[in-house]
Amino acid sequence: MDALAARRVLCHGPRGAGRSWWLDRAANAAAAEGFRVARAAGSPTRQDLALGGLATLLAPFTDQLAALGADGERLRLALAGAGGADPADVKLATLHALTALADIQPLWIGVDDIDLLDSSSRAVLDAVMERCIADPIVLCATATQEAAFAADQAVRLEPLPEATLVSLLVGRGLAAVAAERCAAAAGGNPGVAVAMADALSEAQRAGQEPVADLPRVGGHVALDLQGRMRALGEPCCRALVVAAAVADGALGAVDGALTQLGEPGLVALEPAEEAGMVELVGTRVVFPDAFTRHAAYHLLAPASRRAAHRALAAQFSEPHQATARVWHLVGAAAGPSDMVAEALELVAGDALRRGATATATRTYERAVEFAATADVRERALAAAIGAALEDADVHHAEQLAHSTVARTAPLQAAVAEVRELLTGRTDGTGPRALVWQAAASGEYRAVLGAVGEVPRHPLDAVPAAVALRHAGRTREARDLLASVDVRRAAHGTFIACWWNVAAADLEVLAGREPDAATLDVPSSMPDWLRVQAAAVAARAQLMAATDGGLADSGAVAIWADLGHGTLAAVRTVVRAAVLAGDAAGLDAAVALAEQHRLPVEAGEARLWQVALRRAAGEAVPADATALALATLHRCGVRGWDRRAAAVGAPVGGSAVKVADPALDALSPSERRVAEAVAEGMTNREAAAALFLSVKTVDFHLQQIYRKLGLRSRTELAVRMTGAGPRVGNHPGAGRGDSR
Amino acid sequence: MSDWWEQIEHALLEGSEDAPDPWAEMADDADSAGDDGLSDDQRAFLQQLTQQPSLGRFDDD
Repeated sequence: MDALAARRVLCHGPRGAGRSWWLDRAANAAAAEGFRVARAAGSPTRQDLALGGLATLLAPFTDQLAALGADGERLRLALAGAGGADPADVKLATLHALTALADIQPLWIGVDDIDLLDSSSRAVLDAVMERCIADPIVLCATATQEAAFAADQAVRLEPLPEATLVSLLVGRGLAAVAAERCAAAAGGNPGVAVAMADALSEAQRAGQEPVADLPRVGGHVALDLQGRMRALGEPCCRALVVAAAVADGALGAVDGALTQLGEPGLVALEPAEEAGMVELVGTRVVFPDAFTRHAAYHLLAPASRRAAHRALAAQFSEPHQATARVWHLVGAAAGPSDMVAEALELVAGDALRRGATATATRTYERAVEFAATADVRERALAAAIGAALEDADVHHAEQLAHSTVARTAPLQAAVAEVRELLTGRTDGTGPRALVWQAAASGEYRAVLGAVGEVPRHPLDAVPAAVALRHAGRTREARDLLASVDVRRAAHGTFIACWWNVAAADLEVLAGREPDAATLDVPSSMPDWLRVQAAAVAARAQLMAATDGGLADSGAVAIWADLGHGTLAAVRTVVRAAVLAGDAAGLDAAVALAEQHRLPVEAGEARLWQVALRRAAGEAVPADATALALATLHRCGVRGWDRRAAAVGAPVGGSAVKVADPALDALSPSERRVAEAVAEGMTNREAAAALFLSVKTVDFHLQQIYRKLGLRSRTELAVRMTGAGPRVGNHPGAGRGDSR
Repeated sequence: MSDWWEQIEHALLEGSEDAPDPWAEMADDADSAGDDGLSDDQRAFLQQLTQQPSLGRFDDD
């Protein structure tokens, strides 16, 4: 695996396609190539635990963190759950920690189910991988959807046809007869197929011995596992059912319930322990995986399972155990019961208050299943939709909203809320109607008044961020937008489109080029959002000041329609072309100014044309300056005379700077590094200022030297300023590049 | 293949219908009434839970 060619690798595909197997293989390959391997996994039950994934990832490196001084200590405290850690500090400390670790040995990070990783850890990992491009750090992740992770390289795993699996296995040296056996049993999962093949004897692999019937992945595998459990004897099976029914495997509860059921108690589990089907760890009985636990839970008939839950419910009689007791009574209940549903609603409400929104959604859904009357059912369903929206999972909310015809007011309101978030269209009665209408008409103060600067609902972060941006508070807007990743759970919906447009707008404001695809708003979305997207695209085009973009008067028209005015738009075009040192662009700017009957801007642009052409050593008609000035004089503008006299000499630093076409070859990141170094910063200072690793700055600098044909930072300073080395301004100038 | 977990779940549920049923009588013992399969004690517990002042999401609003 080439660490620098593909630093972020994603394996995506449906559940059961073999993603985890792929990650295991990648980890083994990385270890074999000398990488130090760190692993973490996303999990729906741990998704709400801030920095939990990062803590798991860094757990093996506790000693190394201690050696990192203040950075390590800050990180250690944040991971230990100490509140109040500044997210930027955690990112920076993690960046330093991981790059320091990678200095000792190349680092391979594997994250299974990265889409289920807690958002804080995810943000830290994204930031680190964005900023350590020259360090030997590789992040391999798995997810169900490709969109879950921006990777340099993505691998799609699909359940494979049997014929493909056979070829795969034959390619690994299996005889055709054995390969066919394994392929038929693997059910399309390449990982399972290879694992099965690896488990065969040499003689079986060579086709010299028959392969016994292999179980097909799916129900048969579980039933086969149950067969092995049953072989351990009836008392053991009964004990396994009770153990599997206890969520955390507390031994006291298992023992008490078994006694109440007239069973011998924990001793019955011993055969299962010897067979490796359970393990006693401290005061808990632990199954090796969810699959084994699931198989154990279903070893007895439904009525006996209910009896087991009933006996377990009696073990949780303390007031603080009410939640566990409710869950066991749910397991004990034989049929619909509003009382059970209402108890589940209470449990779900608790989860929601803890911020465990995904758990709350599932619990409300369970309440829906148990509800005996339509009113309770619809109330629980409305609450489930609300919890799914709190989880920013609009698609799940949509599925729930479509599962019934709403009859009662709470459910109708919840369905309306989902429809609003999907389409942005309101009938004037939904909870967000006022916000949408205010945003559509540009009344951003009203938007903030309705949702607040720190919205209670994550999906309201989008309008709040847009409103803050229009109040000039772009940094807060960016933070707020980053606090909720609606793209993942709400892809393609109105709220996700709006998120994209708002994020692209902030990118343009920061002088970066937005991803054009995110501004492609579908026609099903409201017109005002499409106009806003077009405006952002137009501004990006104007800022980029490319040849084609300048000639596009459509961009000017859109900008003007938005209230900025044609004059402002054309002026921006002129300024952009000057900053870009783009003489051809200025031709287009002159044409635009004339088309919009703006003679001052046309004259101004002509003068800049002369300046740029002369600076570039091109021939300029003798009367060009006089013609441009005549236009300006006609309009009563005299201020340009003195400047016009100097035309031919460099006019200001920026014109000279951008007149160097080689600088255009630099990427935006390289440009920022070049400017910082030309300012006199050391590599370390530039890294800190730009929030990059030192190695990344080194890396960029080497690229800059190569592209510009330079050998030292002194030469770079000269090239960037066009005014000679600023020896007096930066003490390190001329000392070479070892800093 | 993508629904393999559902397949397993389905097979297990189906298989458990004919599985041994040693505690069947205890599941619905004499002190239970109604269709929900819960005892009076259990029902009383759930009842008092739902009658407590709620701190649910909608009450916060």
